[in-house]
Amino acid sequence: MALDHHYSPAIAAQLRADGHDVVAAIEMGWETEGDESLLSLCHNEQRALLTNNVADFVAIIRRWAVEGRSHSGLIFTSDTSLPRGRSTIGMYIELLQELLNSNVRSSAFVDRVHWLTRPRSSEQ
Amino acid sequence: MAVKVVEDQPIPQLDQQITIAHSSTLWCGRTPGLGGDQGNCTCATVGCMRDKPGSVQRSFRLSPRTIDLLDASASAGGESRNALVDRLLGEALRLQRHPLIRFQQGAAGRRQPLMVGTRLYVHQVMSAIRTSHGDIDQVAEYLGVSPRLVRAAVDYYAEFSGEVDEDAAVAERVEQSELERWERQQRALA
Repeated sequence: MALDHHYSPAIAAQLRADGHDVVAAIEMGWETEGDESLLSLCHNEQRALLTNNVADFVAIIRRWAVEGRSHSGLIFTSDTSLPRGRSTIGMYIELLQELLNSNVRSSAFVDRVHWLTRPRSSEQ
Repeated sequence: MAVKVVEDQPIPQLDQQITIAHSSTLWCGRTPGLGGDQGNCTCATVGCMRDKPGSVQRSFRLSPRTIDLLDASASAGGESRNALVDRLLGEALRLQRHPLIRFQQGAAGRRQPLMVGTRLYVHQVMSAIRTSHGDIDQVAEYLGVSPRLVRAAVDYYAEFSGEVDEDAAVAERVEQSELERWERQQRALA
Protein backbone atom coordinates (compact mmCIF):
# COMPACT_ATOMS: atom_id res chain seq x y z
CA MET A 1 0.00 0.00 0.00
CA ALA A 2 1.04 3.60 -0.59
CA LEU A 3 -0.19 6.64 1.31
CA ASP A 4 -0.94 9.80 -0.65
CA HIS A 5 0.93 12.94 0.29
CA HIS A 6 -1.76 14.24 2.60
CA TYR A 7 -1.16 11.52 5.23
CA SER A 8 1.71 11.43 7.68
CA PRO A 9 4.72 9.28 6.74
CA ALA A 10 4.66 8.23 10.40
CA ILE A 11 1.62 6.07 9.61
CA ALA A 12 3.57 4.19 6.94
CA ALA A 13 6.61 3.84 9.21
CA GLN A 14 4.58 2.30 12.02
CA LEU A 15 2.80 -0.10 9.67
CA ARG A 16 6.17 -1.20 8.28
CA ALA A 17 7.41 -1.76 11.81
CA ASP A 18 4.39 -4.01 12.26
CA GLY A 19 5.42 -6.05 9.22
CA HIS A 20 3.27 -4.49 6.47
CA ASP A 21 4.65 -3.33 3.11
CA VAL A 22 3.46 0.26 3.25
CA VAL A 23 5.16 3.40 1.90
CA ALA A 24 4.30 7.09 1.95
CA ALA A 25 4.30 8.97 -1.36
CA ILE A 26 6.77 11.49 0.01
CA GLU A 27 9.18 8.69 0.97
CA MET A 28 9.13 7.47 -2.63
CA GLY A 29 9.68 10.91 -4.14
CA TRP A 30 6.14 10.79 -5.54
CA GLU A 31 4.96 14.02 -3.91
CA THR A 32 5.00 15.98 -7.16
CA GLU A 33 3.39 13.34 -9.35
CA GLY A 34 0.04 13.95 -10.96
CA ASP A 35 -2.86 11.76 -9.89
CA GLU A 36 -2.82 9.48 -12.89
CA SER A 37 0.94 9.09 -12.77
CA LEU A 38 0.79 8.26 -9.06
CA LEU A 39 -1.83 5.58 -9.64
CA SER A 40 0.34 4.09 -12.40
CA LEU A 41 3.40 4.06 -10.14
CA CYS A 42 1.38 2.32 -7.44
CA HIS A 43 0.12 -0.25 -9.94
CA ASN A 44 3.68 -0.94 -11.13
CA GLU A 45 4.54 -1.80 -7.53
CA GLN A 46 1.24 -3.63 -6.88
CA ARG A 47 0.30 -1.13 -4.21
CA ALA A 48 -3.19 0.05 -3.37
CA LEU A 49 -3.31 3.83 -2.87
CA LEU A 50 -4.79 5.46 0.23
CA THR A 51 -6.13 8.89 -0.70
CA ASN A 52 -8.84 11.37 0.17
CA ASN A 53 -8.94 12.87 -3.33
CA VAL A 54 -12.08 10.95 -4.20
CA ALA A 55 -13.44 13.03 -7.09
CA ASP A 56 -10.32 12.92 -9.26
CA PHE A 57 -9.41 9.29 -8.66
CA VAL A 58 -12.96 8.10 -9.28
CA ALA A 59 -12.85 9.94 -12.63
CA ILE A 60 -9.50 8.30 -13.46
CA ILE A 61 -10.48 4.73 -12.65
CA ARG A 62 -13.76 5.07 -14.56
CA ARG A 63 -11.81 6.13 -17.62
CA TRP A 64 -9.24 3.38 -17.07
CA ALA A 65 -12.04 0.82 -16.83
CA VAL A 66 -13.32 1.92 -20.23
CA GLU A 67 -9.78 1.66 -21.60
CA GLY A 68 -9.30 -1.79 -20.08
CA ARG A 69 -6.57 -0.58 -17.70
CA SER A 70 -6.22 -2.06 -14.24
CA HIS A 71 -5.18 -0.42 -10.98
CA SER A 72 -4.03 -1.99 -7.75
CA GLY A 73 -6.81 -0.54 -5.65
CA LEU A 74 -7.99 2.71 -4.11
CA ILE A 75 -8.63 3.08 -0.40
CA PHE A 76 -10.61 6.26 0.22
CA THR A 77 -10.95 8.32 3.37
CA SER A 78 -13.03 11.37 4.16
CA ASP A 79 -11.75 14.24 6.29
CA THR A 80 -15.24 14.51 7.71
CA SER A 81 -15.28 11.05 9.26
CA LEU A 82 -11.51 10.46 9.53
CA PRO A 83 -9.74 13.79 10.10
CA ARG A 84 -6.03 13.96 9.31
CA GLY A 85 -3.66 15.21 12.00
CA ARG A 86 -1.21 14.11 14.66
CA SER A 87 -4.07 13.24 17.01
CA THR A 88 -5.52 10.70 14.54
CA ILE A 89 -2.31 8.93 13.47
CA GLY A 90 -3.00 6.11 15.92
CA MET A 91 -6.53 5.65 14.63
CA TYR A 92 -5.31 5.45 11.03
CA ILE A 93 -2.68 2.87 12.00
CA GLU A 94 -5.26 0.76 13.80
CA LEU A 95 -7.76 0.87 10.91
CA LEU A 96 -5.11 0.15 8.29
CA GLN A 97 -3.65 -2.73 10.32
CA GLU A 98 -7.11 -4.27 10.46
CA LEU A 99 -7.63 -3.75 6.73
CA LEU A 100 -4.23 -5.15 5.75
CA ASN A 101 -4.53 -8.13 8.10
CA SER A 102 -7.80 -9.09 6.49
CA ASN A 103 -6.52 -8.53 2.92
CA VAL A 104 -3.07 -10.09 2.88
CA ARG A 105 -2.79 -10.90 -0.84
CA SER A 106 -1.01 -8.22 -2.90
CA SER A 107 -3.84 -8.46 -5.42
CA ALA A 108 -6.53 -8.03 -2.77
CA PHE A 109 -7.59 -4.60 -3.98
CA VAL A 110 -6.95 -4.88 -7.72
CA ASP A 111 -9.59 -2.86 -9.59
CA ARG A 112 -11.42 -2.36 -6.31
CA VAL A 113 -12.43 0.66 -4.28
CA HIS A 114 -12.56 0.39 -0.51
CA TRP A 115 -13.46 3.01 2.08
CA LEU A 116 -11.58 3.26 5.33
CA THR A 117 -14.22 4.06 7.91
CA ARG A 118 -14.52 3.99 11.63
CA PRO A 119 -16.97 1.55 13.19
CA ARG A 120 -20.28 3.42 13.62
CA SER A 121 -20.11 3.07 17.40
CA SER A 122 -16.79 4.95 17.60
CA GLU A 123 -17.88 7.95 15.50
CA GLN A 124 -18.49 11.13 17.44
CA MET B 1 -24.87 46.31 -14.94
CA ALA B 2 -22.22 45.94 -17.59
CA VAL B 3 -19.65 48.71 -17.70
CA LYS B 4 -17.36 49.16 -20.67
CA VAL B 5 -14.06 50.87 -20.00
CA VAL B 6 -11.84 51.51 -22.99
CA GLU B 7 -8.22 52.33 -22.42
CA ASP B 8 -7.69 55.87 -23.68
CA GLN B 9 -3.93 56.02 -23.26
CA PRO B 10 -2.06 55.05 -26.42
CA ILE B 11 0.19 52.09 -25.72
CA PRO B 12 3.19 51.81 -28.01
CA GLN B 13 3.87 48.39 -29.53
CA LEU B 14 0.49 47.09 -28.55
CA ASP B 15 -1.75 47.24 -31.53
CA GLN B 16 -4.60 44.82 -31.01
CA GLN B 17 -7.53 45.23 -28.75
CA ILE B 18 -9.61 42.61 -27.08
CA THR B 19 -12.75 43.20 -25.09
CA ILE B 20 -13.41 40.70 -22.38
CA ALA B 21 -16.37 40.36 -20.15
CA HIS B 22 -14.57 40.05 -16.87
CA SER B 23 -16.50 37.91 -14.54
CA SER B 24 -16.43 38.24 -10.81
CA THR B 25 -17.43 34.59 -10.99
CA LEU B 26 -13.88 33.75 -12.00
CA TRP B 27 -13.37 30.84 -14.41
CA CYS B 28 -16.98 29.79 -14.53
CA GLY B 29 -17.44 30.83 -18.15
CA ARG B 30 -21.20 30.87 -17.68
CA THR B 31 -21.58 34.55 -17.05
CA PRO B 32 -24.70 36.46 -18.02
CA GLY B 33 -24.66 37.50 -21.63
CA LEU B 34 -22.44 34.58 -22.57
CA GLY B 35 -25.16 32.01 -22.77
CA GLY B 36 -25.02 30.99 -19.17
CA ASP B 37 -27.45 31.08 -16.34
CA GLN B 38 -25.57 32.32 -13.34
CA GLY B 39 -28.50 31.87 -11.02
CA ASN B 40 -28.72 28.15 -11.74
CA CYS B 41 -25.06 27.54 -12.41
CA THR B 42 -23.83 24.14 -11.30
CA CYS B 43 -20.34 24.81 -12.57
CA ALA B 44 -17.68 22.90 -10.66
CA THR B 45 -14.80 25.25 -11.34
CA VAL B 46 -12.83 27.23 -8.82
CA GLY B 47 -14.23 30.54 -7.81
CA CYS B 48 -17.70 30.13 -9.20
CA MET B 49 -19.44 32.18 -6.57
CA ARG B 50 -23.08 32.17 -7.51
CA ASP B 51 -24.04 34.83 -5.02
CA LYS B 52 -21.75 37.48 -6.48
CA PRO B 53 -22.73 40.02 -9.10
CA GLY B 54 -22.16 39.38 -12.79
CA SER B 55 -19.45 40.37 -15.19
CA VAL B 56 -17.93 43.70 -16.11
CA GLN B 57 -16.91 44.42 -19.68
CA ARG B 58 -13.54 46.07 -20.12
CA SER B 59 -11.22 46.57 -23.11
CA PHE B 60 -7.47 45.99 -23.15
CA ARG B 61 -4.84 46.31 -25.85
CA LEU B 62 -2.78 43.16 -26.28
CA SER B 63 0.21 42.38 -28.45
CA PRO B 64 -0.40 40.40 -31.65
CA ARG B 65 1.69 37.56 -30.24
CA THR B 66 -0.43 37.36 -27.14
CA ILE B 67 -3.58 37.38 -29.27
CA ASP B 68 -2.16 34.54 -31.39
CA LEU B 69 -1.33 32.50 -28.29
CA LEU B 70 -4.73 33.22 -26.82
CA ASP B 71 -6.54 32.11 -29.95
CA ALA B 72 -4.47 28.96 -30.25
CA SER B 73 -4.93 28.06 -26.61
CA ALA B 74 -8.68 28.75 -26.65
CA SER B 75 -9.07 26.67 -29.79
CA ALA B 76 -6.99 23.78 -28.44
CA GLY B 77 -8.72 23.73 -25.08
CA GLY B 78 -12.26 24.24 -26.31
CA GLU B 79 -12.63 27.28 -24.08
CA SER B 80 -13.99 30.63 -25.22
CA ARG B 81 -11.40 33.39 -25.44
CA ASN B 82 -13.28 35.31 -22.78
CA ALA B 83 -13.37 32.37 -20.37
CA LEU B 84 -9.70 31.63 -21.02
CA VAL B 85 -8.59 35.22 -20.43
CA ASP B 86 -10.70 35.41 -17.32
CA ARG B 87 -9.23 32.19 -15.93
CA LEU B 88 -5.62 32.91 -16.84
CA LEU B 89 -5.76 36.47 -15.56
CA GLY B 90 -7.46 35.39 -12.37
CA GLU B 91 -4.87 32.69 -11.73
CA ALA B 92 -1.92 34.91 -12.67
CA LEU B 93 -3.02 37.59 -10.23
CA ARG B 94 -3.41 35.01 -7.49
CA LEU B 95 0.02 33.50 -8.25
CA GLN B 96 1.62 36.93 -8.20
CA ARG B 97 0.29 37.48 -4.70
CA HIS B 98 0.94 33.90 -3.56
CA PRO B 99 4.09 32.59 -5.28
CA LEU B 100 4.08 29.26 -3.39
CA ILE B 101 0.70 28.34 -4.82
CA ARG B 102 -0.03 26.67 -8.17
CA PHE B 103 -3.24 25.74 -9.91
CA GLN B 104 -3.98 22.24 -11.04
CA GLN B 105 -6.93 20.74 -12.83
CA GLY B 106 -7.83 17.28 -11.65
CA ALA B 107 -9.40 14.49 -13.67
CA ALA B 108 -12.82 15.54 -12.39
CA GLY B 109 -12.30 18.91 -14.12
CA ARG B 110 -12.01 21.24 -11.15
CA ARG B 111 -9.06 23.65 -11.01
CA GLN B 112 -7.82 24.10 -7.47
CA PRO B 113 -4.91 25.83 -5.76
CA LEU B 114 -2.22 23.56 -4.38
CA MET B 115 1.11 24.13 -2.66
CA VAL B 116 4.03 24.24 -5.07
CA GLY B 117 6.09 21.03 -5.27
CA THR B 118 3.47 18.96 -3.48
CA ARG B 119 0.25 17.05 -4.08
CA LEU B 120 -1.47 19.10 -1.39
CA TYR B 121 -4.49 21.21 -2.27
CA VAL B 122 -5.00 24.25 -0.09
CA HIS B 123 -8.32 22.91 1.22
CA GLN B 124 -6.61 19.66 2.25
CA VAL B 125 -3.99 21.61 4.19
CA MET B 126 -6.66 23.74 5.85
CA SER B 127 -8.50 20.61 6.90
CA ALA B 128 -5.35 19.32 8.61
CA ILE B 129 -4.86 22.72 10.24
CA ARG B 130 -8.35 22.57 11.73
CA THR B 131 -7.68 19.08 13.08
CA SER B 132 -4.45 20.40 14.63
CA HIS B 133 -6.17 23.48 16.11
CA GLY B 134 -4.11 25.89 14.02
CA ASP B 135 -0.68 24.51 14.94
CA ILE B 136 1.29 25.16 11.74
CA ASP B 137 4.44 23.35 12.87
CA GLN B 138 2.44 20.29 13.82
CA VAL B 139 0.72 20.23 10.42
CA ALA B 140 4.05 20.69 8.61
CA GLU B 141 5.48 17.75 10.53
CA TYR B 142 2.40 15.64 9.82
CA LEU B 143 2.55 16.34 6.08
CA GLY B 144 6.35 16.16 5.85
CA VAL B 145 6.67 19.66 4.38
CA SER B 146 8.20 22.96 5.43
CA PRO B 147 6.19 25.20 7.78
CA ARG B 148 6.77 27.90 5.15
CA LEU B 149 4.54 25.99 2.74
CA VAL B 150 1.82 25.51 5.32
CA ARG B 151 1.91 29.24 6.07
CA ALA B 152 1.60 29.92 2.34
CA ALA B 153 -1.57 27.84 2.26
CA VAL B 154 -2.96 29.73 5.24
CA ASP B 155 -2.08 33.07 3.61
CA TYR B 156 -3.87 32.01 0.45
CA TYR B 157 -6.87 30.84 2.43
CA ALA B 158 -7.01 34.14 4.29
CA GLU B 159 -7.46 35.97 1.00
CA PHE B 160 -9.61 33.49 -0.93
CA SER B 161 -11.41 31.61 1.82
CA GLY B 162 -14.72 31.52 -0.07
CA GLU B 163 -13.15 29.77 -3.04
CA VAL B 164 -11.19 27.31 -0.90
CA ASP B 165 -14.23 26.54 1.24
CA GLU B 166 -16.14 25.84 -1.97
CA ASP B 167 -13.37 23.43 -3.06
CA ALA B 168 -13.72 21.64 0.29
CA ALA B 169 -17.51 21.59 0.06
CA VAL B 170 -17.45 20.10 -3.45
CA ALA B 171 -14.92 17.46 -2.32
CA GLU B 172 -17.11 16.60 0.66
CA ARG B 173 -20.23 16.26 -1.49
CA VAL B 174 -18.43 13.86 -3.85
CA GLU B 175 -17.01 11.89 -0.91
CA GLN B 176 -20.46 11.53 0.64
CA SER B 177 -22.03 10.45 -2.62
CA GLU B 178 -19.29 7.91 -3.40
CA LEU B 179 -19.26 6.57 0.16
CA GLU B 180 -23.03 6.02 0.08
CA ARG B 181 -22.74 4.28 -3.28
CA TRP B 182 -19.97 2.03 -1.93
CA GLU B 183 -22.00 1.20 1.18
CA ARG B 184 -24.97 0.21 -1.00
CA GLN B 185 -22.64 -2.04 -3.01
CA GLN B 186 -21.34 -3.66 0.19
CA ARG B 187 -24.89 -4.33 1.38
CA ALA B 188 -25.78 -5.82 -2.00
CA LEU B 189 -22.76 -8.12 -1.79
CA ALA B 190 -23.38 -9.16 1.82
